Amino acid sequence: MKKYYKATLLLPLFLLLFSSNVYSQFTLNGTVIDAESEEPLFGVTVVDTETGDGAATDINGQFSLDLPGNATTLRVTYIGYLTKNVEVESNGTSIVELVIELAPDISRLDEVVVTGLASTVKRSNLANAVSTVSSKELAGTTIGQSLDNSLSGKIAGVNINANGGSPGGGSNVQLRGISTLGTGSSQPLYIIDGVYVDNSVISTGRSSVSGAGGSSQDDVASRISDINPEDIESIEVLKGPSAAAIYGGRANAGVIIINTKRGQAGETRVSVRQDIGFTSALNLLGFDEWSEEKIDLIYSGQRAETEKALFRQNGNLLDYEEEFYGENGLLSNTQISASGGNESTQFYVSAGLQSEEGIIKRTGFDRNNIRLNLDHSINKNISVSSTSNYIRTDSDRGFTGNQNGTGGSIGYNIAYVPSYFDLRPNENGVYPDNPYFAENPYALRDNAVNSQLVNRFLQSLRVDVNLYSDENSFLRFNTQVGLDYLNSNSEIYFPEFFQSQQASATPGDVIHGKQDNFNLNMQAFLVYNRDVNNVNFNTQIGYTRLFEESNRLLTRGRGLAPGQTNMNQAEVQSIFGQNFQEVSEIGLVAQEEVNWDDKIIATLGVRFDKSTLNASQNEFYPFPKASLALNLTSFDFWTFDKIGLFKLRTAYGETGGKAQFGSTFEALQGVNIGGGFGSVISTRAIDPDLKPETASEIEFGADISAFDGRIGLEATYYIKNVSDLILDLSPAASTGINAIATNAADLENKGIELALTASPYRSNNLSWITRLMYWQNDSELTRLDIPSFDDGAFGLSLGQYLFREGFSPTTIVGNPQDPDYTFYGDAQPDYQMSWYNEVSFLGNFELSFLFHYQKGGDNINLSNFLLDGGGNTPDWSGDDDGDGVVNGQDRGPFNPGRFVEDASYLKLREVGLYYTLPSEITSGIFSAERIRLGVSGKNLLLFSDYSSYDPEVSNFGAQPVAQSVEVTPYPSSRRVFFHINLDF
Amino acid sequence: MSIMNKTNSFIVGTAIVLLSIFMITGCNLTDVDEVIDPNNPSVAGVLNDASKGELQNMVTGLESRHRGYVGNSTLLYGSFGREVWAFFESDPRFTVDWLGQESITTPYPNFFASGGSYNTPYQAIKQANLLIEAVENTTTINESEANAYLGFAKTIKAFQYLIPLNGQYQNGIRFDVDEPLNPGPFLSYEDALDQILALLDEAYSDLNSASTIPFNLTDGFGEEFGTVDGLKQVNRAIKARTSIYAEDFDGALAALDDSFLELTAGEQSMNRGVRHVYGNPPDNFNPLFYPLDANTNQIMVVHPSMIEDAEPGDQRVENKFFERTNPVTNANVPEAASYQDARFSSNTSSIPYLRNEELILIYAEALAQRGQGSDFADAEAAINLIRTTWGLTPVTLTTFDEIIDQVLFERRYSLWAESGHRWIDARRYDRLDEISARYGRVFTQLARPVSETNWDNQND
Repeated sequence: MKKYYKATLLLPLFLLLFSSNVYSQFTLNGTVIDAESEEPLFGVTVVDTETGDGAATDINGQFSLDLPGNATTLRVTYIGYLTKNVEVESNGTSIVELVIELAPDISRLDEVVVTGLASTVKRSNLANAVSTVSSKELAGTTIGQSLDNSLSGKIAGVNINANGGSPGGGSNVQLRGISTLGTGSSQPLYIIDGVYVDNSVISTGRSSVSGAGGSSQDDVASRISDINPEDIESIEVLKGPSAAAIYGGRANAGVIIINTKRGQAGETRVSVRQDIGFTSALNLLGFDEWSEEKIDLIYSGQRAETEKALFRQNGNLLDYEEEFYGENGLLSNTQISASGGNESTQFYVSAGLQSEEGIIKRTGFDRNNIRLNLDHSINKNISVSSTSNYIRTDSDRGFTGNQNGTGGSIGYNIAYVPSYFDLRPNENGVYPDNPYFAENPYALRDNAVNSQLVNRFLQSLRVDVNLYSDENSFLRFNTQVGLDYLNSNSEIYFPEFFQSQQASATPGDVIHGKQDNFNLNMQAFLVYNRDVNNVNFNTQIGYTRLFEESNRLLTRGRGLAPGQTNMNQAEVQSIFGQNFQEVSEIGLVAQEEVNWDDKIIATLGVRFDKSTLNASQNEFYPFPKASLALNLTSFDFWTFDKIGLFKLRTAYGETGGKAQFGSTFEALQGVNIGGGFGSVISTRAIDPDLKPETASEIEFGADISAFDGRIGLEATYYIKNVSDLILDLSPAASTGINAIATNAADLENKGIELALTASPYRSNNLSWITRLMYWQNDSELTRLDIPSFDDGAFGLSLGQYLFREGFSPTTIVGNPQDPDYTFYGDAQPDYQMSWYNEVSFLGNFELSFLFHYQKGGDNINLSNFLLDGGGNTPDWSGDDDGDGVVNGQDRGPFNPGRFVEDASYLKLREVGLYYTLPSEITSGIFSAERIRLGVSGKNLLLFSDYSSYDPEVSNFGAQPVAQSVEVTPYPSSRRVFFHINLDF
Repeated sequence: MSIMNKTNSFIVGTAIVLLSIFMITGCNLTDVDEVIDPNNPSVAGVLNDASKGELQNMVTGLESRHRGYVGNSTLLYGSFGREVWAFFESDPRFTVDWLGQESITTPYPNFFASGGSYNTPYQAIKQANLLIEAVENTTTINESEANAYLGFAKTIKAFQYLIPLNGQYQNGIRFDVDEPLNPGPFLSYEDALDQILALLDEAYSDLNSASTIPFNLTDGFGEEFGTVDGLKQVNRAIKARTSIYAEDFDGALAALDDSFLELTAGEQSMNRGVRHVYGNPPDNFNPLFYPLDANTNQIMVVHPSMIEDAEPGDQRVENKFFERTNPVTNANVPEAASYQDARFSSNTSSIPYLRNEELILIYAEALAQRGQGSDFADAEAAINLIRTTWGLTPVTLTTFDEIIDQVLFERRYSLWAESGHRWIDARRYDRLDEISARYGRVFTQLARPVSETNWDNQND
């Protein structure tokens, strides 16, 4: 990654030597070591700044370069270490030996961060709180279920909640609190190598076949889970409008910028990695056992006698929870990559094969992808980069969660089945009817289909042209084009022989889904950089354009011929849904950065955005930004050299919110009268002055680095206001309209982010890096122009979310109302903390682990509600209050008090132990440069008082507000891997 | 570093910049092509040069909205006027609230199940306004055709205003409701009627400037009324009805002259008029149809007073009231009902909303009110047309009171359960106390809906 940015930023500094005055040359043999521990460093990039020739160090930290002339400057770069420029001279000898020491960059001051759309800045000069996650932090310890899953607990200010344990992941990613109340996308904007990535959730229709209700209960992961985390070099998270303003109208929920790995000049490096592991349920509840006394409490009369007779015959025969969730799934991941090149062309090629089974039979997730990243310098002034990625993912996520009338959820179903009833198929493969619920869960698990196959192609192309340069300034032109095409085919199928289907007039139900999404974005920028005395001015103006197109068709067949899923074999063939979407956006950007000698760095910028998603499609909306960073340590008066960096920073920015497609159209609905087709105006309208939702944020922070970078502290306080939130207003009934979408509310998020990084001990035999993070966010509706209302979830007796001025929008309320609601809690946590540690010991061992703690946050847990009804709750037969009534029948009045639970937890998210084989051994085997063995785990431990599988859960998927409801979800799992990694 | 190479790079560099600019300006540089809803026809789409097909769809849509009120107002206003009882056992409020029992001394705002006679007509008015605006913003039709659309839309719109006005009475209604965020003020009952009359005249002059109807109407208008002349007659008929509400009896007579009034006896003459049509799905079923003798306790029944007060031999009783084998009961009414509506033969039968029979009765009433020359005699003759059609002996009427009494009596049976004429007629002649309240209270008017008062409170 460093090489890539170097190529574009420092292009004017490259001078190709056409004239062949290369008669004199010398060979440099060097070793690169860690300045403190004196350990040799593997894979350090050493580049001759004059020729562009480069090399990478081997396992012993050694490299060799043939250099022309008598002297040159080497630029030595390595992730996690401060970049160093080394001058070498031949002094007449033909071979020069050199030892280069690199100092660790704990606070990552040297790291380069994107600020404008076409410029970067060193972290030590950065005025925003931008978090970065390196590839080592992302996927270096263990492998998560998906990209968003792998980010949990690693970024301060970001709440990532997995929706459930289904294979393929799927999480709700919220940066700095609530960014919308539900109009548009509540998820951040993802940009990968300059491509605006499609992160939509593609509905499959599962909730219609199972009866659960709306498509938010389909349990589909958003499409960011297609991306392979192994290919990622670094991730930058722009958490709020103060940093993301330059992305304009789509950035209310933040921006996550991802860069994939790029080739390095030098010998071709090949890396092969094989991970093999297994997954098992993290936290099974343990259904209560049955007895004749228990049967008498639930049933009466003849029914009780029948049940008891069966119990006497079978006893506690089957633990259904164990039967369905007790599988050990096999996980396998193979990655091959090659990287290399010369001074004008560099490449990175990789292929990944990932196959994961779930903890329920016949569920799993496969991902296969191939990538080619190319960088080429046409001449010293023009360079081109291309990124191509083809991905194919196949998800089988099974049937869990909510259902209605079909028994189409394993968890919901087995909640009602007692242990003494045998539902297993007989020797002829016939599934007995389930007398306790609408479907036989074994039949559902073994025969129902919920599959989604996605083919995806991402391509980006970037051209950098150096138009002019002299010793004080340069003028550059940069253009970038990105393309994201995906095609999804999904199938949901209940065969006709299912018990629930036999009860229907048309047995057999299938929904076929087909969706094509095409995203195209481009940008063109002019950057002018000029030094005047010791002030640097960087000016950029640019133009961006975005085009999105989507085409979805879902068809449904009911009354199917046995074993058939083709629509032609259905008695009732219908169109389940068809939807076309088209979006165009234009952005104009201008930004000015002024840097006085790295002492004061000020930025001012604005972006004008228009989008066809807004009510006024051709109106530009402005999104300004401003920031100021004060590097006190750069000033002359700073003499306290124990503190290497003391930066005060403040930033302000505004962004816009992406509206939902279709919400600005006043549609005509179809009616029929007298044999004719009519179009009538809908009873919903939109305010003609409707503006997009916008967010504005001001943040204050400080970055401190002390003791030669061994301790770093980042602290930020932010206030993020989201205004003009779009909600429904009820107008006078005589207008013929019963709801008008209007800008009706403002929301304020306030929070603190703290990150402390330290490297307390560093030596040859033991070095330890630790990072402690704390973040909290409080939300409040500061303005609500329509009457207060409640929404989401399943109603006031089970718990709903309250929208009222002066309260957090994730407040959970419900009955009793006397007269006001009873308040039960808030879905957002009080605060979160994480603790990451990396310890290298005994030379070749490396241990890393990550703990994640959440305090507060309330869930609406409806799983126990169902389990109580079925007599299966773990504590059903106990009598905690000693009043003679069993717990299962003694839960108290029917109101949310029974269901709202605190979701605090402590999780050991990641642990990894790696051993690098000594170089004497490795050179014998496969002639490898380096061989690494490891064992790791994800989600190994959960400490929580929450009474269901995992406090991280959401029945409705990634919702901005109604984010913490649970109805018998797919249980989350722990993963254990063994790794072998060969570098050639 | 040679000069040639530097120039080369610069040329190539500039070429790339220019190429990019060409690529960008290939598309419009600062304007996006506006996206119209690709999944539904949109309001924006039809307000911008609507095609004839789109206009036709909106006309059919208006006919659909136009029939939305009829089930509710027949039941609601019919209960107020004691023409019918709404015996729907599933909800006690159909009798307790609608008949004014117990603590319901007067209707409260958002009165139970009253939306069909307030919200629904205003949705029809909104649809009419949409059609009017679309016609005024399109170039695909000529002026004569445009006038036909406008005349039709405004006629239907005027008709629909009467429905909430009849319910709100002295509360008045809003007339100017084109902008959802800026509804006009409430007009008094009299002012609202004046506005409706003016709207009807405007529609009439539009129709006069139209040569043909460039759109199709359902069989509800049929061959007779689905023409320019036919629609003009319908317009005048509505004006006649409105005029007698406004107590403009001269105006009523003038309107009747140009309407489809036919002073002939006979069932066919009586039933000439316009109707709401129904059909099998995807169309709607007739909301007032119940199979005869249906075994149900969710049914509209004939009020017993209709049977008790009827003259023997009245064919209208025979045609409209069916005596059930088993009476229907309701928990909140101490009397069982033995008769149900017999007018509709199936669930796809049409419901008439303006017939010649009503026009004859308006004629008689207006003449009596004018009272000049032979008016009383002509009124008597008109009434007797009705009576002889239905097998009753002709009567002799000499005074104003006698004629009005008789008109009201005939209207009660001729126009039974046609959106609540009896309640409206009794109210306008100040005779609500003559309606036998059993078992509750007879209301004068509904209360203004909550959304209306809220809107004024928040926006004043």
